[in-house]
Amino acid sequence: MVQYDTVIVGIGGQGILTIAQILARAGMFQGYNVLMSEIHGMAQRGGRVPCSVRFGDSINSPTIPEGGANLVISLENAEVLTSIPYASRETVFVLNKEMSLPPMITIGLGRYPTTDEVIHSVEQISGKILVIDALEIARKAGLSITVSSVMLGAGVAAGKVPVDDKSVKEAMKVVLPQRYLEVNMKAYKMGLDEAMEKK
Amino acid sequence: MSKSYADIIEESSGKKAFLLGNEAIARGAIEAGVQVAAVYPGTPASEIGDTLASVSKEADLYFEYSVNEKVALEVAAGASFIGLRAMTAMKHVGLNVASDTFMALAYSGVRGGLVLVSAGDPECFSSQNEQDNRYYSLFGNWPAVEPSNPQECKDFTKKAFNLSERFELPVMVHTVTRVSHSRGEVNLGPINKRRNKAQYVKDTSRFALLPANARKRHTWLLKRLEEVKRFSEETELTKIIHGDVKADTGIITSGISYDYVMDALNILGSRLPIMKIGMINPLPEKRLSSFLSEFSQIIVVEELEPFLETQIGALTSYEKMNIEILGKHSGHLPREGELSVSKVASAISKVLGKPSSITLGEIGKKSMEASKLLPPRPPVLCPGCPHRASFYAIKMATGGKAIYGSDIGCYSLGILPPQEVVDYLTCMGSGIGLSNGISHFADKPLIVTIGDSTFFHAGMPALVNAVYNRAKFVLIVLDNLVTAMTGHQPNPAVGISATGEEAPRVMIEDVAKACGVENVVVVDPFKVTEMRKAIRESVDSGKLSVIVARQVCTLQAVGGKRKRGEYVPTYYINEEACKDCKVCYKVFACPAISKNDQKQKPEIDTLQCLGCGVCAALCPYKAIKKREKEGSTKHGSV
Repeated sequence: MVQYDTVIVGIGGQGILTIAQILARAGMFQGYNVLMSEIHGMAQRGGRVPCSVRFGDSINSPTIPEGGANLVISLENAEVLTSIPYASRETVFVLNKEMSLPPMITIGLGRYPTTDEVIHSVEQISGKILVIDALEIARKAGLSITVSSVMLGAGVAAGKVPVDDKSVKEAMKVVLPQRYLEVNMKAYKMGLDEAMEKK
Repeated sequence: MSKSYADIIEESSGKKAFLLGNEAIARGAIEAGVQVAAVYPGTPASEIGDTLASVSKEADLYFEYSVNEKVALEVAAGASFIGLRAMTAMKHVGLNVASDTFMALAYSGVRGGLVLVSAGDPECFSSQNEQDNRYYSLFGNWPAVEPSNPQECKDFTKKAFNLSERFELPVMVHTVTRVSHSRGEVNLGPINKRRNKAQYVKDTSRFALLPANARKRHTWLLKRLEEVKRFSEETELTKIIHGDVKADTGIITSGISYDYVMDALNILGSRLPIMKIGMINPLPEKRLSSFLSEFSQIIVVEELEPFLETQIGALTSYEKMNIEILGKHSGHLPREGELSVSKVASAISKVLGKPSSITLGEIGKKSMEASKLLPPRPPVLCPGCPHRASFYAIKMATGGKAIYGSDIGCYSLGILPPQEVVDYLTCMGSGIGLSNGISHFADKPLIVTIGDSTFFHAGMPALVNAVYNRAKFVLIVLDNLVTAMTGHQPNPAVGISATGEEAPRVMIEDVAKACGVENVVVVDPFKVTEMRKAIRESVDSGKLSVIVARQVCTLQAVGGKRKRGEYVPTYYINEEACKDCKVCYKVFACPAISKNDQKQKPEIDTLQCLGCGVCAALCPYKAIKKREKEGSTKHGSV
């Protein structure tokens, strides 16, 4: 019996809801019971967008219990810290190297942590952490906004998420406009390969 | 209609669709054969209206965005009075606005099925309070149902229409953010093709609530509620999940809390019996009594207030039952914030005297440490947002030394540094009303900001009041020609109807003049110097003034340009001319501009820049330049 919980974090506009929907629908194509939870309203204004995708026959809550995440995908560097309450020693973290400085920092309020500090914090919880330069890979795939698909691919590989390429492709067909399908699938595969290589 | 809404009108019954709770509610209404829907948008209810708007033609449905929730409910109720199936949907606080009409409708009763969806927001993800609208159903004598997942969102909404017509009473469907904004698979049912006929039948004894009629209708209502209560005793909307037969603790719950209970019990390896209440008003007292009688203690698990718990407590007292009721009163569960599996698991394990397996301990501590490292990231105005330009002009014209009233909308974000020109905001339209009260005693200029949609929603009466009672302030209507925060719905300022047709435009400057305001000007906030001058002149005039700062929401403008294949310019910084004076990134504070620490000069992120050009106009060294066409911002070509 499959049960698999994924937390996806990052900032509005990074494609979080899009890859969450792709993952959720891929789970459906695999035949799982799927639930997804999202927060709307502030997403377009640079706010945090926490999102969860759950696979499993006996799940009821659309949100993931604390300590229950199998996988965390963080589309932005420091944002991974928001996911820690959902993590345990077993959680696999896939972290985008890219930092997006909040405007508060630009105007001189608050401090953005160094990548080492962020990684150190995550390592206190789980040693299973993979850092990816998703923007670099997305550019190689041919389109910088496919960062989210790269991260999804890396997450699926590193976290051994029980979905196959065929289901992901079917899901992308439903979620993405036709013209972006191929490049996103390519980005997804490149993310997948990157995670396999780094293992 | 976009491809994502195809499932909402999918004809084939038995097909499965992956729907958002709110989309499932829209589907439920369509399966019920809804004929009229009117809403004012508000998170977390907005997608119900947006979905219905996008399929209104295919679903043979009249849909409108109304100016506020009260009018929306009245539009739906009017349609119901003439026999049509009608609905409205609103966020919890929207019902405060609609409450006068809401209270009257149980007395008049309805003809066509009338359904109101009220979406609450425990945790205040996007609201000013956490009020628990289940009390409205009790208060207004509306039957109410509460779904716990997308499948039930569809099924309960459909059922609500039938109940409403059967009992001639309006019915509330109550959700919260986590139900409205969760997605899951939904088994689609058949779409009811039968349409009620619109027929005006005069019946003043019901629909004209003069005192003599109202007294009689109150008696009718109480009698009718007894019938609904009998239904509540039998309905499958409420169910018992039999667990461990030897348990002397039972759980009563409803809505999203049921999901938390189920997952918590799984984690705890417990099989306590559960009563899941689907119809939350009126409560099935007999069924409750019979369930209660099997236990020595009951845990009531529900979001926010002890709505079920207090009524169950009263019931055990009336029935002289010796049973302990645990929940909010006993301190096992909080009355504020949203519940979660962990909160529920820890409450249950405390009652059972078992350690919870979700004791976070060490990870809890580390998670606290990690959160300290997290940089502040409040939502901010988008790059290119006309409100940022307006706020800059306001701040410069008043030197930050005025009193700044504001309201509910994207522009509420003007509260944050560096703008800080929002001192108070409470609820829709209140900024003008509050400023009426302050203005008679203010020793500083009073600047009030409000959005176009909020002005129409509840700002207009307060402006009339200001004219009549000689209140003095400068009202700046930030007219971005869309209801932006809730997802870009059109409103009377726009000239487009809910379904995308051309509509009459109501010009805010005309309204202000008609209200009797003498000082009325229209400015373009992207022309910062002009706007600054207009504000200064209005303040100096000492008169009640209205400035309409009109510039279309940048996301709308750029979205439209990209769709039409038009060039969207971006800007760049000429590093030789730049003296790093910080105006662009610290004072104007566009999020697309940040300092490059290596170069010690600011730079503009071309992926974020939406080409408003205000930074270029403000730069004292003329160091910000427009990029000519080759480097288009179309994704991928940068």
